[in-house]
Amino acid sequence: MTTNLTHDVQRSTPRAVELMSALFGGQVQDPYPVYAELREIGDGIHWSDDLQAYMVTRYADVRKIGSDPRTFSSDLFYDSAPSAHDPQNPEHLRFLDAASRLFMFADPPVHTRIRSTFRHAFTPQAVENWRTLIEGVTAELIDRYPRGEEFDIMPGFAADVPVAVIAAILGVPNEMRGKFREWSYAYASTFDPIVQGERRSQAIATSLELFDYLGELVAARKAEPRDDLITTLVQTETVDGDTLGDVELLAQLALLLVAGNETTTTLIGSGLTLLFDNPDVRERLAEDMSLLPDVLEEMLRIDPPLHFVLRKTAVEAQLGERTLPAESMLFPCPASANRDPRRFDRPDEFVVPREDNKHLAFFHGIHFCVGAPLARLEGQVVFEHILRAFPDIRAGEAPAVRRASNSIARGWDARPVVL
Amino acid sequence: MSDVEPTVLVHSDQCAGSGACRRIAPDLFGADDKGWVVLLDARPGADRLDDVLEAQDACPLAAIEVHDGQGEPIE
Ligand code: HEM
Ligand code: SF4
Repeated sequence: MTTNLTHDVQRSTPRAVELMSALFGGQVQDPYPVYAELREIGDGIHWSDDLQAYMVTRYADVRKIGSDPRTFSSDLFYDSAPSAHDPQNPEHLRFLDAASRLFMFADPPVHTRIRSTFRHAFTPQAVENWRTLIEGVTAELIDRYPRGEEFDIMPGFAADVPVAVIAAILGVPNEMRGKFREWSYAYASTFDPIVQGERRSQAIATSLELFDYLGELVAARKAEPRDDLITTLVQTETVDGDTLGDVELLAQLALLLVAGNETTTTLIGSGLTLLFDNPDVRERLAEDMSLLPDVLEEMLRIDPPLHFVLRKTAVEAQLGERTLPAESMLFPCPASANRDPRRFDRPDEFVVPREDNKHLAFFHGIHFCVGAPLARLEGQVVFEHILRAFPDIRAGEAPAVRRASNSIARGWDARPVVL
Repeated sequence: MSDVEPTVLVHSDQCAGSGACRRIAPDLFGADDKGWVVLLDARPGADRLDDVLEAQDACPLAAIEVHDGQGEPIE
């Protein structure tokens, strides 16, 4: 973090400091008890010296941050990990020219303009057209595994489904998929603050190959329009009546990969784990698959793939009783909000169907995940296929391992299963 | 709830077409041919306050605003 604080931070209690150091120091396997304790200390808002930011843990505060983008700004690319670069290095500068344009890091009116094209491609009706494709990818990838033998479902299945789906949606030919996956991982790693120095230069060089390739796809669709996502984005007018520029567009296409791949992968690992841990829910599902959408929402509530988002106060801001100075960095924590007992009864239990399940896994407000309908469809297709094709699927003998090193995107290092 | 007469405002440029508002109050919220929200009644009367607040709460994009007679937001 490079923020220079010009104001006095509001000190946290020693216990809150201790809990956050463990959490962001990568030492916590199960963060939920930590969130639960932090939520009840003071007003649930805590300054972290490590993050140079306030962690926000309660539902009402996290949601309020989402609904007020004028006060709680997303224009913070240059305060965040992916902007780290060497100003002398021309490759780094070329990378930043595209990477700094992500609409995830923009406020209105820039955000509204770019998102007004993307939203067309991801409405609930539009994503239905991809159902058959997702079913095909799921079947192809899972049917490679033998029944009755233990294997780790994360690398070859959970990680591959979203990459194969988005590649197909973008019109990337099959033979390019390996390359495409490698590029996506390299670009995603530029968002990881621990990737610095030579590793960052390498990741940036590889990301530029991805950007160039996406640029070629955009040019190809302009020359020869197809009935696909990129063509839609090339042709759709923004709310301002223009269309997106080439670099502007390819930057957002690259964003789809970082925002959509690892999150959906994590959802598959977490969802299977929750099904193993809740046999009663699984039995009910086996009898009535129409419960699946409710099950999926509860998976997203109780264990969301993305634990934090990032915001910065544009002006002095009020959260409950707390006044936060302008230019404060905030880490609102949807994963904690989703278990706030002020909002959810029996917050630590997997309840299906849960009444009024307005969880914040996709956040809230103008930046609400534009890919949510696609992520939901992928989740439904994957779990339905697995439960129908392999009704006896069970957890393997080897332990499932959560990744503790990344406290923001909490993935799985291993999720052994037997089909 | 009371005699507060709600005034409703929608930001259709932020709408994601989820349909949540229409499911709650189909006579107050509609959609254009692309699926984006269209406000059918901005002053639906005091007895609809609960409905419009429920729709506001249900919108994941926070694209629906409800105000009282003085222009103060209500939640
Ligand atoms: C279960 C899977 C997913 C989860 C949990 C998730 C979560 C989120 C969250 C919390 C945000 C808000 C970030 C912020 O406001 O700072 C977000 C934004 C976004 N997501 Fe997702 N996401 C998922 C899948 C996807 C998929 C599949 C795609 C696209 C293929 C996608 C594309 C995006 C984009 C482009 C944004 C930026 C939206 C904006 O700033 O207006 N996501 N996502
Ligand atoms: S609930 Fe919000 S996003 Fe969904 S259709 Fe209504 S206004 Fe649009």
